[in-house]
Amino acid sequence: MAYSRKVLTVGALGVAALALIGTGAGATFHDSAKAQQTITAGNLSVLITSPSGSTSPDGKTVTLNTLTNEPSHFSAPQETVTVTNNGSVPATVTGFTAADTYDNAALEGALNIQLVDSGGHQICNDLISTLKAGTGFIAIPGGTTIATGGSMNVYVTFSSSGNSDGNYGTGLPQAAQRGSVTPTLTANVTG
Amino acid sequence: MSVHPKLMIGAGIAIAGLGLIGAGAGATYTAQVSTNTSISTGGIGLSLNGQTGSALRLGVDAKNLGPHFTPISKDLLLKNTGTLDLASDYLSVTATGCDGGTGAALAKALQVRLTDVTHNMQVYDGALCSLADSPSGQGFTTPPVHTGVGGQLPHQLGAGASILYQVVIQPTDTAAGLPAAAQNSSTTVSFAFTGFDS
Repeated sequence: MAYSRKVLTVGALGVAALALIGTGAGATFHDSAKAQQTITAGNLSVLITSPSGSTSPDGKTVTLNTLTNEPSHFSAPQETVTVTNNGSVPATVTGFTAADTYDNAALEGALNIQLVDSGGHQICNDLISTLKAGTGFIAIPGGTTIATGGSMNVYVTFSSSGNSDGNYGTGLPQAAQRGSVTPTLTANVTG
Repeated sequence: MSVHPKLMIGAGIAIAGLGLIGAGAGATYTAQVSTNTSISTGGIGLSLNGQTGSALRLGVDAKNLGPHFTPISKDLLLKNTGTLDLASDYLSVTATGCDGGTGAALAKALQVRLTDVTHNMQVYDGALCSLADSPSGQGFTTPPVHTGVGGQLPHQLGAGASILYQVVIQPTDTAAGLPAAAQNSSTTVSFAFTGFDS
């Protein structure tokens, strides 16, 4: 069968039109959205100072007044130790660890340390040697949390045995003469 | 309502992921700061006429004494050689024979005079055995804390300081002299100084 040229042309147009419709129906509208958040870890950092001591350049160690030529009965002046939170997260002081070095066991065995918090509550009143015989850890029940930029004070008194709070105790033994002890208190802090 | 299996799997993964986040949050930062100090003790020491020790024999020429012997005099320089002040110092005197044993006649016939030359003060002047028997004699005060060390001397002794004492021993009865029973007898008199830093 022979078709006229006009009929062939229309037929070709119709096929072309259908093809275009098909292409348009295959594409999809689209859009996108995304969320992002920058997470920065906080910084736990504390410094330690004392009005009567000297602090190391990194702020992590304070050396209190040296006590020299102490007699058999002594109670050193109470020292204030301040722990300051200079980090970006709250810092909780859970306690202190007592340690020492010494050249005279008799002196070390009779040296007392008393810790009092800013509320006047006694944290510890014991021989350093007794503390060391245990864990050496002096816990602060519940810990003391220091807000960012805040600080806490503890008051430290060293004395001959039984001599704290003005109590005239038994004092140091004879063998404690001409000895030395360097006690160290380390504040344990968590964030 | 039934839940499509693929959705169940998705939820399970999400919960596991939260669990891991929780574990990370449970860890804590820690920090430490420390404080230290140095504590050293002083010491005490005594010397007598430049010598130390607890058994010094400071000889006096007191042999073959006659009944009217020249008073025996001995200077005792007590020095604090330590680094601590002595808050109190004591003198204990003992003499053999004062207990009634050998040499009793001689010991009980002697008198002692103790003078603090440095402070120009007489500390004791009396019978030797009274001083030796009692911790508290003339010029002495009863020790408030320390016992068994004699009588307390009137002056404290600072670190490095000295006090010169003079001991004079003579017959109690200077006119009659020593009794006959004291012949061929002897007594040993000991002076023990003790210092305390408190």
